[in-house]
Amino acid sequence: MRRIVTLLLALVCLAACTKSAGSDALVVGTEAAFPPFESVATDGSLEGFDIDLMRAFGAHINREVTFSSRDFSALIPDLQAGRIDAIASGMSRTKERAHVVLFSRPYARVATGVLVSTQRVADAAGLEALEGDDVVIAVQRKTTGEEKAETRFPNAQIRVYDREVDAAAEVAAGRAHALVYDMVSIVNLHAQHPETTRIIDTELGIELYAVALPLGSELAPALDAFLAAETRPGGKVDELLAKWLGDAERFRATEE
Amino acid sequence: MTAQRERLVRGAVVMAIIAALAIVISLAPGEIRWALAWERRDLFLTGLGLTVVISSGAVGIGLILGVIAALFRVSRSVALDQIGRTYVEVVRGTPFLVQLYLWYWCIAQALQLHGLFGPREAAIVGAIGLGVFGGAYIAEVVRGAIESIDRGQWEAARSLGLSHAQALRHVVLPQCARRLLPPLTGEAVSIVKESSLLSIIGVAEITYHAKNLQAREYETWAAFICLAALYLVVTLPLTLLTRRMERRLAGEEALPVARL
Repeated sequence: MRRIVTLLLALVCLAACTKSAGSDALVVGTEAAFPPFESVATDGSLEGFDIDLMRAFGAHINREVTFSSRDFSALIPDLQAGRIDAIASGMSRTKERAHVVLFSRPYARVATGVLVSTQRVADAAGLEALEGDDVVIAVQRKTTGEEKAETRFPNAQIRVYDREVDAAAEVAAGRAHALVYDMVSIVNLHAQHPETTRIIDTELGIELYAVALPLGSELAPALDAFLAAETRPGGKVDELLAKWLGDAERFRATEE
Repeated sequence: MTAQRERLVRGAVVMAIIAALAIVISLAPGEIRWALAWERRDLFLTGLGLTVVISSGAVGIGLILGVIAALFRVSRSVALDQIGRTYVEVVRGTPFLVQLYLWYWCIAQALQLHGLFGPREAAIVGAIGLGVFGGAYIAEVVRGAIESIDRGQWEAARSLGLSHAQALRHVVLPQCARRLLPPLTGEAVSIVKESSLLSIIGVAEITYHAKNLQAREYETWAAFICLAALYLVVTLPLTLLTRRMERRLAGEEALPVARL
């Protein structure tokens, strides 16, 4: 019994020690399953547009930045719980999310697209082919794709997956008719499954990606100032958009 | 059937199953890019290490809770028995996934464990949750072992003037210990497998790394086939060990009684 108590005490001490080490770093939460915005490289490090952007911000405010990956739907709850200090994960600014988090200025604009299964949807068909009640649409949990699929295709059966790759696999395998998701990913996914998928030519609106901070965060002014300076043509954001998405002009966030 | 022949049949069946799996794998649409998994071997091994560490911690917690709960259940106190029974029924009656959500999103958050554990919170809370989960199953295994001891042993001990607790401690439990090892190893295997769910809350155990590979390279086959194989690397030796222990035990049990 005494040994057990000693062991438990040791564990608590260990935990306390881990806390005091590096508590000053800015912990950025992300879902590292969203290339090219964030994913895990072969050596285990996180890389992508959002990772570079937050590193640059960290250098700007002279603070170390560490990243922590989890499921997309876990990001906002973990921000609220104080487990992470910011979210940089290709997250769209939406009114609903703005009730619970504080969004920075947008740093990128990406259209929402529709990827369809060539097995399930006729070659020339457009969005109207997805309006029936026998249509299955795959989306990722808590993404704007989920919201848009529900609004645009109220009759369809919306199937929600935890991860992009799983939702996309359903379309490639012909188990779902379509995936509603961001256009950058859809282009990548189509390249992965060129024969079994097709991109529908119509976009479902534009999303603005922003960093999410806890409500009332003191970091907001510095982050907004940084983004305002760097989203100008030729700034750091342009450089990163060109590096990771191959086109700064098309994805630059223009509003504000 | 001779032992040699039996071994032959078993070997042939295993080979046939492996061949069938190979056929299924050959049906994969497109080439399986095994190299992508090989490139990440260090990550996979680190992840496997964390899987083993977390599972070991959970087995430790589970053993403590399981033995306590089992002792509660065989004690003569109705209240203690009910505590043990409630714990076992609640834990065994809910999926571990749901328990994990409760631990991480509700309990850990309410107790502000992030302040205590920092970035290791998910792994530690996950291990605790897994231990509490395993403990309920271990409790039933331990209780079963205690109850499997012949009634006569109890009666003999009591008639020699030992109290209930003394009889339990000096007569019944020592006889249980050996009988317990095989089923306990089985519970350890189950804990290793359930630990894969911790990937959902961002614990960098082995399933987490396989999911990252799949998400980045869209290479599902290599990611999950390698993942399954690596789990077997941990669980198969445990299972084989269990079988050997069971065989040895069966031999000993057949011996004439009363070695006490």
